[in-house]
Amino acid sequence: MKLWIYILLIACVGGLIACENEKNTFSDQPSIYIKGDPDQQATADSVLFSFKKSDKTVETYDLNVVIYTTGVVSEYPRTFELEVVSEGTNVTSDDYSIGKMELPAGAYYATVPITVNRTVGGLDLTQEIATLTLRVKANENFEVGAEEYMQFKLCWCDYLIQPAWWTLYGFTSDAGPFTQARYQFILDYYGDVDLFEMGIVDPITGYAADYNKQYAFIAELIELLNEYNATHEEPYLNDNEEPLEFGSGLTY
Amino acid sequence: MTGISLFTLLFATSCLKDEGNYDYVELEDFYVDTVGVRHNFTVKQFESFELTPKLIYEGDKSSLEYKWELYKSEDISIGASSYGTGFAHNYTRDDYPDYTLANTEDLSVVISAVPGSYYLVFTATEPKTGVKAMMDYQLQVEGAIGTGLVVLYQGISGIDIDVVSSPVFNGSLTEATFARHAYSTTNESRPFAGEPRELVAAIYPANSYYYIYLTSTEDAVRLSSIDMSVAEEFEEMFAGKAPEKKDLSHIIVNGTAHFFVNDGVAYKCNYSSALMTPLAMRNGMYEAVATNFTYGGNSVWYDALNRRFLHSMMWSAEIAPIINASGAFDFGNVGKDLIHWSKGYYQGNEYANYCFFKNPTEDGQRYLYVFLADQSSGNSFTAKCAMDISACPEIAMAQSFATGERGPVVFYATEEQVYRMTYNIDEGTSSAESVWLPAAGESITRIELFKNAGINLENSALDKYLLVSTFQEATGKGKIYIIPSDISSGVLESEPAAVYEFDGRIADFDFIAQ
Repeated sequence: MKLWIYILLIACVGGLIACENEKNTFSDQPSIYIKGDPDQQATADSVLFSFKKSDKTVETYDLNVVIYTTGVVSEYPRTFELEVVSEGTNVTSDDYSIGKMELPAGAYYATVPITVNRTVGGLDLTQEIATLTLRVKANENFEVGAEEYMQFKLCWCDYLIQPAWWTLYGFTSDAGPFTQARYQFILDYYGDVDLFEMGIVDPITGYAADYNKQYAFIAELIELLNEYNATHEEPYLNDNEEPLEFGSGLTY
Repeated sequence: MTGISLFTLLFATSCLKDEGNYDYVELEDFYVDTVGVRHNFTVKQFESFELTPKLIYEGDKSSLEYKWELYKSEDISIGASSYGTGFAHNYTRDDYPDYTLANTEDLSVVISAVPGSYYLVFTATEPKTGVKAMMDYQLQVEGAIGTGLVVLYQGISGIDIDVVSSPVFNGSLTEATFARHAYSTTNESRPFAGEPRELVAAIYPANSYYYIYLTSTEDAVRLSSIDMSVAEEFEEMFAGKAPEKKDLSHIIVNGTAHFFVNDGVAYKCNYSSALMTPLAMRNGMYEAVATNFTYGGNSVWYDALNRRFLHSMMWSAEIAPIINASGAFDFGNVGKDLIHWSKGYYQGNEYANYCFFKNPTEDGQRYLYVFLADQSSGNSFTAKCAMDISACPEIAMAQSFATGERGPVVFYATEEQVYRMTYNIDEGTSSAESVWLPAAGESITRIELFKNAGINLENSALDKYLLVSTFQEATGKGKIYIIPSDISSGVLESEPAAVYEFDGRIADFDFIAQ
């Protein structure tokens, strides 16, 4: 008797579920989403570029966004659209230009160069960051794809950006805090160094891969600075207009 | 009630007759006598080794079963178990128990085990009873270059190194053996140019450091202390750019921390690696000429440019004037030229420094400055004395110094004789007397007190011997006299414990143990 009751209950529940509408929607219409260019050190939602490491004659730079599509590839090129998100934008259309918005035939993604200007109206990029936020927009070819990849922020400036290795263990306390002048001095003598690539800092642990290498690097900076100051009338100045130093225990 | 029951039960069974069917047999004396028996030995790999245990047995020895087994000393983890194992012989955990050297009472075998420390176990078994008599020995198997005194000299055909394995320092040896011309034999195609300068062992097994620094006026390398091959060329020693000029000297080793001077620049490495980093001075210049270590990998240096002491922290790329100092002299303005610097003795302080100076213009005056480095921070200093020692006989002619760390012992040597100083740091008084003369025709080239640097060998106590090297121009031979010295007074025994001869003029020597 009890068995029949159980069978009846299961049947009732099953009957109720069987009538529920399918909430997930599927469509034949392909969608698009936007990301940055990993080769430009883009993160998941943004990219930051500094003109400061470029020659002073450089006036523009192409920051890339990559438009991916879902669904099958097409035998024909398909246009897509991007729109500016005003909430995350402090530049005008005079300060940038967007490249061709077309997905080539047979491709499932397209790289779109966003040409940004070194000089931006109303902003001092030696002190401030210019920001342009783009969002994918539905058109006749594409729907808007995954929500988390609907928009992407492009940032640029004309001052030095603190590299990730500077703040990791040891370098700040042994060489000094990040300042524009201190980093510029390093760039002047070594070019665009990367202490991760040089094997000085371990990118995984964040500790010096070999402290002797780190100290050798810092000692060389001190000697180079001594040499600079000895051969110039004015010492190399820090951001606060005081003579620059490298070494441990520095607060600026 | 329970207690009464138990007592009754024991009472009832106590008178039962033991009906076991075993016999009691009176055993004859059967043991290995250990009284006065030597138990540790050192043998070179692939050399024969003989040993006769002092087996006491009143019965027929030929009826016994014998076994000699060699076990690795360390506990090596294999799988879930920890075995002392013959892993060096490619034995596995399963066949390890069968690693047997011989089945005879007397051992006479060629030892093929790779260099290392072993237990050598002798077992005699009485087959009828299964009773065993056993004896454990310790056997140190050494490679071609083992434990011993490494001697750097200038021979007729150039710079070379000999290694003397001596029972004077190593109680497990029965006689001295020599690895002659170890450098030129191993590095046949790489002659070492210049005049020999320094030889310093830098062995730290935990970090796999088996180095010997070898320097001359023109060259510098790190050798492997295992076989004397060149482990690192000069250019490979540095963390940054290698210096253009090879001018390496004043090497100090403290565990994994190494310090040296090259062309006036101070270099150091900390435990991260053995790569040497230069030390830079902010807004200043210096010319390092010597160094010593202090607590925690910190170091103190002498700047010949400004005749002052400098300091470098372990975790730093910098060298800087000393600011935390007090006492008998000004660390920032010594004003004299440094002649010699070594660790010395001051009331048990581990970081007592003895520095011998002369005036910038040679006037025959000599000075002994003693200072202490703080034993917990390593970056503050106390000057204990700035003593004028000019009255000590022939001190202006001294070319070599040796300072004890376990007592107020200072020797200095001219070419003709060794003097021992008597001095009082607190009162600033000093005198000296001649305590040793070389044989006729010999001149003294160097003196050192034996520094064992943590070597745990029988006979090898810190400062236990004064080592004096001499050179005889007529024969082209050098000698090292190993003279027992009282660690607290420096009183020398009248006869040397050993004298070893070498094919050239000895420049430096150190002790290595693998």
